[in-house]
Amino acid sequence: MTTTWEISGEYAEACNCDVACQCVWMEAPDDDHCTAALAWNITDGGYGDVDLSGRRVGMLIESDEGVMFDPSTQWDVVLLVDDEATDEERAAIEDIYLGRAGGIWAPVADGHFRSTEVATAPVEFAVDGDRTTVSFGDDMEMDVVERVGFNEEAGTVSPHPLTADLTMKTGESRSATVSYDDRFQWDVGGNNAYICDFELTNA
Amino acid sequence: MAPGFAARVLPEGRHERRVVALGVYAAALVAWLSMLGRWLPMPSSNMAMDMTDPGVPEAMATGSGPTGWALYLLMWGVMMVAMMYPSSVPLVSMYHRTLDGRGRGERLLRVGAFLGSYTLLWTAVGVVPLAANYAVPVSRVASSGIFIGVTLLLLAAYQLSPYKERCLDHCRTPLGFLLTHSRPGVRGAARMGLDHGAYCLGCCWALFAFMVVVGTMNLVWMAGITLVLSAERTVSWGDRLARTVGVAAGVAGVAVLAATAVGVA
Repeated sequence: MTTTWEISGEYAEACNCDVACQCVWMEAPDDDHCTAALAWNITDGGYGDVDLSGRRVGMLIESDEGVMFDPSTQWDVVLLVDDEATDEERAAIEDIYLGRAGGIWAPVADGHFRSTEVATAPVEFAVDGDRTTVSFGDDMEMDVVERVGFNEEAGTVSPHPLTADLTMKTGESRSATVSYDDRFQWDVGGNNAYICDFELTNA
Repeated sequence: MAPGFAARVLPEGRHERRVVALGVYAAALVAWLSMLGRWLPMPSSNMAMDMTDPGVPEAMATGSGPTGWALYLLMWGVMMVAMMYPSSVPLVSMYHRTLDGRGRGERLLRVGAFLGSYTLLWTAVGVVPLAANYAVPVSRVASSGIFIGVTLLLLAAYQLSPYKERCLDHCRTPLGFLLTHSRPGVRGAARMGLDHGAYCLGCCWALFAFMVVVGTMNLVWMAGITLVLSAERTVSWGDRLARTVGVAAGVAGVAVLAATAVGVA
């Protein structure tokens, strides 16, 4: 099996950290654990011959206590796929995001994923100027805006691994709720958010 | 990893990954054996000089022209493989894992490019002790208490500096390195090797400077320093070990300088 994958598009995340998430600096998150919702709108790319443009992907992460990227810290993960994806597209997305097909998800899944579930939901993903709104059915909802600093320029944070140039725009969530299963229940609006155009690949 | 997930995942490269890890360890082992067995050619064979004495390999090399420099760099490169490869295995294995989905040939080519550029960088660093020796022969000043004391204080200062800590953080989190330094293609792999080498250099240059002063080919010091730098880079208490080594070097440095000043040494 030799499958190259390459996807790009729009990305947003919202988590329980105050502005800004300190996990990228290898510090423990606020409250010493991480509850994060991530969302990708794939506008271009695919997995081998499977075209993934137009697909939407979400991920819910709840980590053990402690520094999120410490080797011993385990995460429980739910992968959300838009309900318009075909079986083949969903399988491709699972292979990529659950780390079975190389790229950065492979060592992340190896080192941190304790449990994984996959669910499908109807998805809204809209970018309007500095504002991104996302919903995956009733499972996840976020409404995030870019934070601007001096000269009205969006703040940036680096290094963040989920984009090719490692730079994310800093944002704040107007709202950020997750309601999936008993273990994934949170309402962390008013906290950290990151926004970027993403590019990920195992090429 | 949940059993349900593990059962469904059969990464194609799992067996190959073990072979790659064993290969890296084997390369380090061969490098150690070649040091122990003195298989490496050296310019001139003046039996009056002992290769393990401070400054002797450098003096032999700088005294033998371009051939001497080249042979010294070869020796230095082999020494680096012996000392640095073992603690790089976690990163190499993890990098190999990110290449699942690529063909076998390409995976091995990229891992080779990664290790190759890493090794070349470290080999090139051997120019530094040679050039320093060209200016001030270590063999002539190695018995000077001031020289040894100052080297120890330099080591102590660097071990306790924030730069050391920052480089160690990178070495200790191979996942973090991959997440932030991954680049596509074979050239990207070579570039990652250089990046990784630069952080290792940041971790270890002061220890190597110390090693040159006590004797580049002194196997006892080589083994001790390898243990220290490997632990620093891989275990969770590595930063405390680095600071302990720094404090010990500082105390030893002050003691040597004080003894020199009062004329004991």
